[in-house]
Order: sequence, then C-alpha cells, then structure tokens
Amino acid sequence: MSTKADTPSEAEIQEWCASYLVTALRIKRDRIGFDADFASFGLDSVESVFMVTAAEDWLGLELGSEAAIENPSVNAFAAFLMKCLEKKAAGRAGGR
Amino acid sequence: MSETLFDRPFASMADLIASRARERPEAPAFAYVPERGDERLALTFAQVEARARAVAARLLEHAEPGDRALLLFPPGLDCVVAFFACLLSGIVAVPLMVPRRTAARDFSVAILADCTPRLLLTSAELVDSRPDLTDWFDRAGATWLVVDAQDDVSPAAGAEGWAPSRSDLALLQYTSGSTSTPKGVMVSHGNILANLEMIRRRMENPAGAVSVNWVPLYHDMGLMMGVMQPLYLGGLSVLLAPASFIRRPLNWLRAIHDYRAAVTSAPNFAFDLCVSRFQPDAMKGMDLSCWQLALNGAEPIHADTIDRFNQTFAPYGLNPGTMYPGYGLAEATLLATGSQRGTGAVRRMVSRDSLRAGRADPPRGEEDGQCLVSSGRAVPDSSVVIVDPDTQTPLPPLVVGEVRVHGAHVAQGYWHNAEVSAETFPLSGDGSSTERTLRTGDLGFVDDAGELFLTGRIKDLIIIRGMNHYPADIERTVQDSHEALRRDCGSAFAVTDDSQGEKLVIVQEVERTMRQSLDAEGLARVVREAVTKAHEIAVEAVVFIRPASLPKTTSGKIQRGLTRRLWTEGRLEVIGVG
Repeated sequence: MSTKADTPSEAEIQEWCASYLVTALRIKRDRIGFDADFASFGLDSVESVFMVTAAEDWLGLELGSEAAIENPSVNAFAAFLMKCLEKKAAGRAGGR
Repeated sequence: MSETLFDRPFASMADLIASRARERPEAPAFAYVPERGDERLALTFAQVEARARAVAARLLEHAEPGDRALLLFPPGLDCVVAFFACLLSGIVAVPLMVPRRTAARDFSVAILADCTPRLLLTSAELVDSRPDLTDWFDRAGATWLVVDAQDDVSPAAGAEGWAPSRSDLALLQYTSGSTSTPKGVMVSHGNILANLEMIRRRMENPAGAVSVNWVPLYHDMGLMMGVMQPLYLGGLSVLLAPASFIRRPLNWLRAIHDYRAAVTSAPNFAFDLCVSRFQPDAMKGMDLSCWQLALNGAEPIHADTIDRFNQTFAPYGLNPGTMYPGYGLAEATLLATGSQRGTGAVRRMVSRDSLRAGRADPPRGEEDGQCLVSSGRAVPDSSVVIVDPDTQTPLPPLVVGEVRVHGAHVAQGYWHNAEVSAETFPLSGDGSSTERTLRTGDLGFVDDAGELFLTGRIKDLIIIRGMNHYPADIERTVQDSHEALRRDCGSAFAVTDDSQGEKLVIVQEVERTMRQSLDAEGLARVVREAVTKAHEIAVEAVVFIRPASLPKTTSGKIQRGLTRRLWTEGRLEVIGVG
C-alpha cells in the first residue's frame, strides 16, 4: 500500500476508489455509481477517513481528513485527488 | 510527588487548578501532538492556570458566573484553557462537537435553544478554517470570543475575588437526549471532584501518572480522563486529535510509547481498530510495558476484542492485565464501576436462554454459552444496585434488572427539565444529602463478588463507537428520505455482532401503493445516504416490510425490542432488503 504509483490517470483513480469501496464496504461492484454520494453506499465519517488515508498511502499525498466528505462521490473524489497530484507535481517542478 | 496531593477536600475545581499550579508549577501538564510534524505544544501547570485565569477575566467582562458558554474547538490545547477559564470564573461550560461543513441537518440548534448561551468560545484556527461557521456563531445569539492557549500573559493578569463552590455547576454535558429534545446533564464542581477521587482510588492511579488520550473533549470520557483526571493526578496529559487516531490508530500506541504513558481511555472499537490496522513496520521499536491501565468503556465490551488486542500487542511488551473494563455515563459524571487494576478483564460464561428470561445461569452446553465481560465494581464511596425496573426493589445476584447508581458523583439532573430529572434522578432520603440516586436505564446483573455485567438497555438507545443515537431521530430521517416510506412505521435498532460491536438495522414499512414496484436496492441507497449524512453512522441492513406489519403496542408505540427479535429470528414479513 505504501508504494507510490507512477502518476495514475483520473480513470485509474476512479477505478481504485470503486474497488476500495467494494472491499471496505463489502458491496457489489455494480452497485457503485460514480456520481452517487458515498453516503448512499454507507460510507460513514470514520470509514471515509480510512479511505482518505488509503488514498494518501497510495498516491503519496497529504490530505485533510474530511477530503472524502467534501468530495463525496467517486468522480468528485478522483477529480480532487487528480488536482492534488497536479499541484504536488507543479510544486516539485517549481522548487527545483 | 506524593499522595498528599489528595489528602484534603477541594473547595471547587478552581481550587484544584490553583493548587496544582502552586504545587507543581514547572511540571508539564498538557501536550498536544499534531498528526504531522513535530511542533508539539506543551503547557506546564503554572502556564495553564495563568492563561486560563487571563481568559477567565475576559469572560467575566462579557458574562456572569452561572451564564453558559459554548465550547467549540478543534482538537488542541485551546479547548483546555477555555474550559479551565470557565471553571475558574464560575461560567458553565457547554462542550460541543464542531458542526460539520456538510451536515445535512444542524443538530446543535436544539441545544442552543435549551441552554441559551451567553458566550461562545472558539479558536482562531477554527474561525480561519471555517468561515461558514461565522453565520452559525451569529445565529447562536451569543458573544463570541477567541481563546488562544499560546497567548502569553503577564502573571498579574486575572480575576480574583469571587470563586465557585462545590455546589455550583461546572458544565452541561449534552450526550443524552434525542436531537429534538436534548438533555443537558448538570455536572457540579462537587460532582467532578467526587468522581475524580473515586476514579483515582478505584484505578489506583498514582500521583504524576502520564495519560494519553484521543477521545474528543466534548465527550464525557475525553473531558474527564483526558483533562480532569490528569490534572487531579498532577501528571502530564498528552492529547491527540480524534481524526489522527482514526487515520492512524497506531499513532495512539506510538504516543504511549514516546511519553511512557500509564493511563488511557477509549471505547471498545478503538482496540479493534488497532488490531485491524496493525502493521509490524509501524510498530518498530515500540515498548508498551509502561502502559498500566487501558480503560475500555462507553460502549459494550467484547471478550474477543480484548483477546485479539492482547495477542497482537503482547510482543511489544503489552501486559494482558492492562485492559481495564469500566462502565460510566455522563449522568454519573463519568465512571460508575471499574475493574481491579492489573488483573485484566473478568469474564463469565452464562446461558443465552436464561439471559432471555432475565437470569444469568450457567450455560447448558456449548451452544447455549455466552461470554460476558465484567464492567468491574462500584467506585469507592458509591453503590451500584440492581433493581426491578418497575417496582425499584433490589434484586438478588445473578438476576437481571436495572442498574441503579448512588453517590456524590451522580449529577444534579437535566438542565431545565424537571419532569425527566425527577424520573431519572429520584431523590433518596430527605434530599439533604449531596449524594443522589440515578436510574441508568441500563440492564445488567451483579455476581456474588459484586462484579457488574451489562446485558442491555431499557431505553432504546443505540451506541455505536461510543456515541449515543436515538432510534426516533434515525426513524424520522428514514421516513423523511422517501415518500414510499410510511411515517411512524419504522424501527431502528442495533444488533450486536460478536466481533465488531453494534450495527444499525432499519426495519421500515412501505406504502401499499409502492409494494408491487418496490426497488429495494435503490430505496435502500436513499435511506443509507440520508442516515449516514444526518447521523454519521453506517446502516448494516435496510429491511422493507409489508404495511401494518411492524410490531406496535395497542397504544401504537413501536416495539423496537420485539422487532429486533423478529428480525434476528427471520420472522418479519420482509418484502425487500437492501
């Protein structure tokens, strides 16, 4: 879990997010709509913090603990993570 | 450091704060460990008193003793300083959870209306990070003040003169009551002082013991065990953010190791979380042999949890006797019973069949056996009696009844709610004593040695991760979520799963017209979303049943206990599950 991937695409992040929900919430993959609110799958505040932590570990990012509550769907969360990755890459490039 | 710290009666919590500052001025009192980075803020006993005294003077410019002040803080030491300022000035503290940005409903409205605060205390950090709260502050109708634990104060600053007494209120604890009719438990300075001494003696906590705590300070366990018991012991309290624990549970153990902590407090789920997030890498170099007492309370305690936790962390020096089951509630300030230090959890195998009949007989075979964990014995100078819930007559050992608590730690009642107060806190004797009696609404039995075993609740209260939820609130959310769901025809209850604590199940009637076209999965999604957003808990199962098939009494009251039993026995008229 702690290995950093080469920068994934937004679609890959969405896929990661969906499979995370399948494992964490023990629900079927076909039940996950990418625009549906996380809460509709039963992702409560504690579970959402776990998902944020897992995303941090995977992507090497530092996120706020409410990141998944504030971006509460697969699409919104993936877009948010993508933006964080771009910001981080820009920061690194600018720092050199 | 000696036991002389405890050998005199304190006039109030203000007296206790001043005494510790005088006795141990340079000793570290509170430290906050942020989730990332090393900038750890720490205050000595003298510093925390001086800063709180300066804030107290500011509070008294805007309010009078007896007025209420809401405490709305992110994790950190600002909250501790603000709380102490209230104790020093006689202003009644009302600790609250910070409303979420995305909350579908604002649960604090009813609390504001109930306690009519004069002041609202918060931190610069919260004001900066949550501009949306300014509206909320304005609506609260209270003067809001920013408290900063790092503000340097000149030693001369501060209010002198008036001081609170033991009978004055120290805080209102809003952990009881449904959201529509909140109940603020009135905790006096005397209640806190009494319970602090009871806890110290029952736990045999030595002077100067170091504590590590991540339970939120708006929770009675967080405030008593994370702030007040450490102050009483004159020992360092290390505070972590609740989210930091949830994200990285092993951070808690790391802090225990780093600070050589002896005492912690957390609900049962915390121990499960440490096991499920266990990683040998993150545990490298950790030595937990310093950890002497881990209070496990605030939700049902599971033997399996304790076994798994002890097994997982024994290689890191954890003593199996560290686990310390206890039982408490805000109505008794905090702790009502506790185990024997160092002996670990006391267990008892009882017959499931006999439990259903209200007795704790030995099991008649393996299938019939259920392992219960003792919550310990009554704290010193108090009593715990099992009574018949209807007649209030005491019951013999091994018979299940309502748990009744008596002592100087029993709170003064519910704020502005004489009717419910009289029911829950029946006056004993002539009413002249400072000791009161509390009907807890919890069910249990004691064994011959006086060990308390909890078996359930009279109230339909649902406790998940140490937080109380009222079924009526959840049922209303469910029925508001979709027109196909019949009003007042649903039941929310918790089922206990041996490994993972309590889980929420919702049984709900659907309208006749919707029966044929029911999309159970889609509707369940709507229900889940509404419940999770409004109450921050996940729903294990949403069960749709035939109209008019929900068990109710003849007077139309929902029979949640019976519904639960029918569900577990598979006897409901189910038309869809999602």
